[in-house]
Amino acid sequence: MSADLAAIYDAYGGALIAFARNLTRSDADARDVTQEIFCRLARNPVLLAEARSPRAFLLTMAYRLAVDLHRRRAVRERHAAGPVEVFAPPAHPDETHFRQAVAVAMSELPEEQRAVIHLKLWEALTFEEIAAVLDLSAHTAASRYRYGIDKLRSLLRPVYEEIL
Amino acid sequence: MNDFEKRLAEIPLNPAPAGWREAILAAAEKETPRARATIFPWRPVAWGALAACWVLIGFFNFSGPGRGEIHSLAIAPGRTPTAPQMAEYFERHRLLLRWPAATETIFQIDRSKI
Repeated sequence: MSADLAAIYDAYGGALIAFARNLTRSDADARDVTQEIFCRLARNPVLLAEARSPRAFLLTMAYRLAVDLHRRRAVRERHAAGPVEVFAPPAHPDETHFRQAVAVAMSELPEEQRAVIHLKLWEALTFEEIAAVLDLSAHTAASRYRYGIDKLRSLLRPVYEEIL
Repeated sequence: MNDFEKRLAEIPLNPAPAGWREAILAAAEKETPRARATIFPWRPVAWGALAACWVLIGFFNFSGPGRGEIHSLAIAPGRTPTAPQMAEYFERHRLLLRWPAATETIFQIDRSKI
């Protein structure tokens, strides 16, 4: 096993899988996306060395592969995706309910809004960084985030107000 | 970031399932240039023998008549027969023409004498 690839996996694998899982809403697809990233890195070891920000570069790869997968699935009758555990299971039952509600609400967002929200909330990227990852303008990234958060807030209002 | 966004950001993401690390890295390892090189490793004797086989095949292929030559030989008219050959041919032909008459005389037997 290549030590370099293992080190890259340990540093970024979790983030890539979580991002791919949130985008594809499928464990199998998230694994395919992550595996393809590492196969490409193995075929071309200098790929990551040329990247200015390895994390942003890998997230870009994950996004593009997930979008490609989504398009291919759409062409050949996308089969119903099973439930996917995007968030870690909590100890408190109230929190379980809230996390499940968030997961369902996230799945109702368009893919492009979901991608921006994931990168902003769970990767803590700025809009400029998100724009670079998703190959769009910072303004578009910000507006997608705003629309997505508004929709999440309206979907989660009953649950969110209940736990406050 | 307001309270709602902070609340969402606090939710921890599910870690990757156990076993994915090994499976993904093993799949990637097969794609490394070093791993690919082991499919056709450099063995000078084996590669030399293979090259020699190809040289022999090429030699035999180009040493005989080409496909066009074989075709032209197949459709070309035969050589013109010489005068003695022609005479022999006509003699045989003449004998063959006489053959039925000869057989008739042989098989016209006087059965009363048997």
